[in-house]
Amino acid sequence: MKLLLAALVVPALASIGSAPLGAAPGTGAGLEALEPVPEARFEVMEPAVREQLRKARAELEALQRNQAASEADLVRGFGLLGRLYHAYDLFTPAGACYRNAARLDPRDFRWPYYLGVLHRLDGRDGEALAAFTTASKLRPNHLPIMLHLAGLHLGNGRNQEAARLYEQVLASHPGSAAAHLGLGRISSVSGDHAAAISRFEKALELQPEAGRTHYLLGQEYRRLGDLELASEHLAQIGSVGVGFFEPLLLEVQRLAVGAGAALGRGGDAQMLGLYDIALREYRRAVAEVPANAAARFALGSLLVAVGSLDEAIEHLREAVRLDPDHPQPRFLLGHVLFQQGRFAEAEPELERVLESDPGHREARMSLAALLASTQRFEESISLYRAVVEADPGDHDGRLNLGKALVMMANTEEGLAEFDAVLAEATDHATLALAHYNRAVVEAWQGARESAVSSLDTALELDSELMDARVLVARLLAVLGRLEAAARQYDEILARDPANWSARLAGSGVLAAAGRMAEARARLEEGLAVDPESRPLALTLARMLACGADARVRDGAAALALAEKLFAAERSLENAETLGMALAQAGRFDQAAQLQEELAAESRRRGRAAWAEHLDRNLERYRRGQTCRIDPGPAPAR
Amino acid sequence: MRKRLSANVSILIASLGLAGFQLESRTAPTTGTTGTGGIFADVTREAGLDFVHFNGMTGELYFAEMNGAGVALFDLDNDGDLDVYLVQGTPLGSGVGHVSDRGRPRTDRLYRNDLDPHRKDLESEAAPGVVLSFTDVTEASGLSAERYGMGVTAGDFDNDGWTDLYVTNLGANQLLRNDRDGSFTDVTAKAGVADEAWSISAIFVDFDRDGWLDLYVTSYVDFNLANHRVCPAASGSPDYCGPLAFAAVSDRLYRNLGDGTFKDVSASSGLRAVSAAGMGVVSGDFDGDGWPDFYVANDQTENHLWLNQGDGTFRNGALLSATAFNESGAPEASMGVAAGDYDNDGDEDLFLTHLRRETNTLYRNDGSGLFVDATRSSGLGPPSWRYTSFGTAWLDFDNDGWLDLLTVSGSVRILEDLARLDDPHPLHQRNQLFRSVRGERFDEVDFPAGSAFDRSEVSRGAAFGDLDNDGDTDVLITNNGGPVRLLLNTLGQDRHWLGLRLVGRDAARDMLGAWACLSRPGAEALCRRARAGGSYASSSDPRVLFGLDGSVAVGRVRVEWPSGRAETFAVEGVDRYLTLREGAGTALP
Repeated sequence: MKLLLAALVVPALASIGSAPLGAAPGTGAGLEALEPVPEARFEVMEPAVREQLRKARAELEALQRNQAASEADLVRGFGLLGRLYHAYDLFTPAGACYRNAARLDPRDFRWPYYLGVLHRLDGRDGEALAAFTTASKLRPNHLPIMLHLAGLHLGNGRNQEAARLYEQVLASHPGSAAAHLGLGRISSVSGDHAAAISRFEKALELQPEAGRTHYLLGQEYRRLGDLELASEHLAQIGSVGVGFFEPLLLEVQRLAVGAGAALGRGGDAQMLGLYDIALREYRRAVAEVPANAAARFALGSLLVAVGSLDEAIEHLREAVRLDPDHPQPRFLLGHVLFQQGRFAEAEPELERVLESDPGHREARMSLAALLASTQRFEESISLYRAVVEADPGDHDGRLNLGKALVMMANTEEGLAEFDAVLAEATDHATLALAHYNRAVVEAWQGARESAVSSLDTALELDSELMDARVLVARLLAVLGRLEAAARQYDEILARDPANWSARLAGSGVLAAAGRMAEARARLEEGLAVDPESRPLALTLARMLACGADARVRDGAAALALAEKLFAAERSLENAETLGMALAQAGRFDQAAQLQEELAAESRRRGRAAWAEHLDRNLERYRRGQTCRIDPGPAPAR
Repeated sequence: MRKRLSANVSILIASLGLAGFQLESRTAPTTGTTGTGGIFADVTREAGLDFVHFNGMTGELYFAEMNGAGVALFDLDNDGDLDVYLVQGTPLGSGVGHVSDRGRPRTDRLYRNDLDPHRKDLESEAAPGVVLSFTDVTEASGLSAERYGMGVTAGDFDNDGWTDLYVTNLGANQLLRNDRDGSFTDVTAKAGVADEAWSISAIFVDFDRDGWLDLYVTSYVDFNLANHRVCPAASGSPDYCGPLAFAAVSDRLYRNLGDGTFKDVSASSGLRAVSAAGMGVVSGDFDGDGWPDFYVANDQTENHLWLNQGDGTFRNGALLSATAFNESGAPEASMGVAAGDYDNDGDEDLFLTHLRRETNTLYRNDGSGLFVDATRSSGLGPPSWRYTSFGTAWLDFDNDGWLDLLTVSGSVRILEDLARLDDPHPLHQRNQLFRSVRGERFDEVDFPAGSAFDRSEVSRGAAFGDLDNDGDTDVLITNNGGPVRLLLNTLGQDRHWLGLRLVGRDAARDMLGAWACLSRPGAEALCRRARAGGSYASSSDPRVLFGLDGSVAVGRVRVEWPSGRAETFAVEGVDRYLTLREGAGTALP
């Protein structure tokens, strides 16, 4: 029994009175085999962790002293302490606890299972295999144990044993993605790539979030010589691998307290793209230790990533207050404030980052952009120049420097920066941006054909560069190349059907090209995507009421839209549209009456020009004629 | 927060302030299947290599302090033997300003090899018959490398026949020109290769085949003392951060213009398109198109295989070639890298060292630049799981004609079991040697207690070369915060061998990148590349060494020179070094 008590004897750092403490409970055989549990370094731990471990250890010691305590009580005590150490990656004391628990209750599969997990993580495959084998005898067909055993065989090249176990898993758990993946890897090694693909596809079907499976599929297709499918899969690689649920390990993880553990769990979740879980863990870390700057920064950073900027700013400000010398929280704070347009608040933060870390390139770029946004181009240029001087290959810096120079009317130097990027860069996205920037300058200078040519090149390099596509569409329309402009707008809408400004412009180009039916269709498609879009509704209502091609006119439809618009906002513009629709619906008297009132109201408001514009259609309505589009002198509301 | 001194920190501080502090080596239990005994003899002390690395550790857990440093083996004085350049650290942050190392400045050190087979008075007790002796010639050389050093590479960038050095630092790097008289001049500014980023490894390679050695430099992360932070362990105890805590930086490629200057072509070559925490780098022709490619080991992010397009640009082919991730599609913490034809099939395979709880990884080349992860089938996975390994190389330590592997290790996170025992530098692990079984699998060599491989240290760099010119590969290992170790191979020379120095026609320098294949009657040809780079932050013997086992019968040597020219050379006799000069052989189409 003394040996049982000695199980908690600790070496040098014992700090909780863990020497042998007298008599132990009168329990059964095998106790002489219990081993001492080494202590961890309490002094470096977070207080919450330290207290939790000390408490569990003290309770176990109390149990050992308690004559009335049962062996089951001790098993629970060692099991809990073992899992606590395990939760903090303190494997040596955790292992000792699990071994003691297993000796006290050799019928409980959990202890050899936990030991197997620890051994496997420590690379002690032989001991892991023995532990999982013991566990599997106590709990046959337990999925995690079987998969661990199969994984151990697979990792050590014993493919037949691994395959047998994976097949066994699938017999009882046909939905195990891990088993399919394992069998796929075995097929791959044996050269049966078709079978491997089938297994990997099944694994992906079962766990579609496991994007790493695409890598395995890509490699198999590559080995079969199908580079197209290989590339397709390789382009979809994700950061999550196939896994399997281990409820016993989840129990361990849930035991961990303290900001460090929560931060660790949050970081793991964030790496896997599980932002909700990551946010919950980071919030927990902040709640545990509100003065933990790292927790505040982690939470603030993730809130920025998910777009909760106001809350992010709150935590970043606190992170900066707690650790004022750390440039990263301050930079992010400054950057977010800048993005929110809070220039006066952002500027000093970014400046302080550069004071503490003059080499902070991102802070320099942000501050330069901020200065450009506030029309302080000279200061902005100076900062961009510093970025480029520090790294002449910084293409982003060069492009921004070029833009700032152009804004300062130093077009020649600006173009030189764009050209330097064009001469040096190799990646298509950067080259496309350089061509686009060049095109903007060319367009400003009136060299529209040249600008179109630059934009065509940009879009060849990066077909997703929307700014370039919008600009080329506009330029083509201005140049009268309406069919080409219409094609560009179609491309934009194919990528972004909700882009109402491109839809309006595209529809206008089609109308100008005489393709009125298609112009109407574009607008109707837009309203199907966004039924609440007033610009689209207004344009469509006017087209239905006054379109140059009688075939696209539809008085009833125009009236329905116009009434809806007018009900939503009783503006002069909407009222005019309503008049147009009434005329197209044959209700000329009402149209004329409304138009008269509108013209009178305009005159009362001193808008004589607008009133004259209204008078022109008023005359048509009085004559029983439908409207014609007359944009008028100025927007009227 | 940064100033807090925990007990953990005080443990680490124990190694500070002790100028010349030398960690006692620890012994560690060994595992393995092959008992071979004394293959390597530690002759460091007898040979006069008294260098001790200083990591600047202050207890602040600065990220940089556990990453250095490397070593170069190169012939500084053209006397035919390998001299040694060792990279040193400096105080970091609030570290003690004491920079003396036993009366000498604490800077990088240069040791001249005084190998003389006739000097019996220098014969090693540990390795009878060995007459290695080194002299510290740092001051005489005029070297001034006083920054926080990381790595070094050697190559004759100015084609004058004398090997120069490029030193990577935490901060600006240095190009040191060999002045042909034992001295060096810092020509960094003129050459334009300072690179202010934190660089780890570098290699000289003539990537554009214009006859001048270009320079590839791996950049790690955007760490400096201003953005330093500590990353707690699960229990909240302070620990070192990993690379993902900082922004990654893209690598640099400098093209040698042939006039003493280089042009930064990182952007125009395509390298700047991606950023990753680059550590090791090796060059080889992995897709067999005749142009030198680069393979970069990145820490915790996907690795890069930069395939040379022959027009000054590179394409990252790692994903399709299956060398970006491990077998499961996961990125690993790659540190060191080695390229070599371990299965003697005429192409170069890749081996990478990784973090504890990851396996090291072996990628077997199918000859077309497409690879298969052979880690499991080779048996190299499980033995590496417990170690964080850095320096590595393919070496045929027993000269049986099959390339073996050596890895050197030391953790980057505090090892709790060591810290609990008040270990002053709780990162140490032991190194490993793996013997090839005919290129099919590898068995870890089981060394007896007390042997050189039984030590537990924080090893980082490793350079490989025949320091005593006896026909086998010796090893020089650097230890972070500890002494350098010179391990002399006492086995290989008992088998037959053939060594080649491959030199240029116009420039009498080592033609780094040359590919030599030795035909053998009745056996597969052996192909090896003249290479200094690879491993981790280190530079190795550029000579090619063929282990011939018991055979003295050799055929011809086919050499593919970096220029693209191919020649064959008749060779006679074994167990000796030959110099093959480009243009002196029989040209091949």
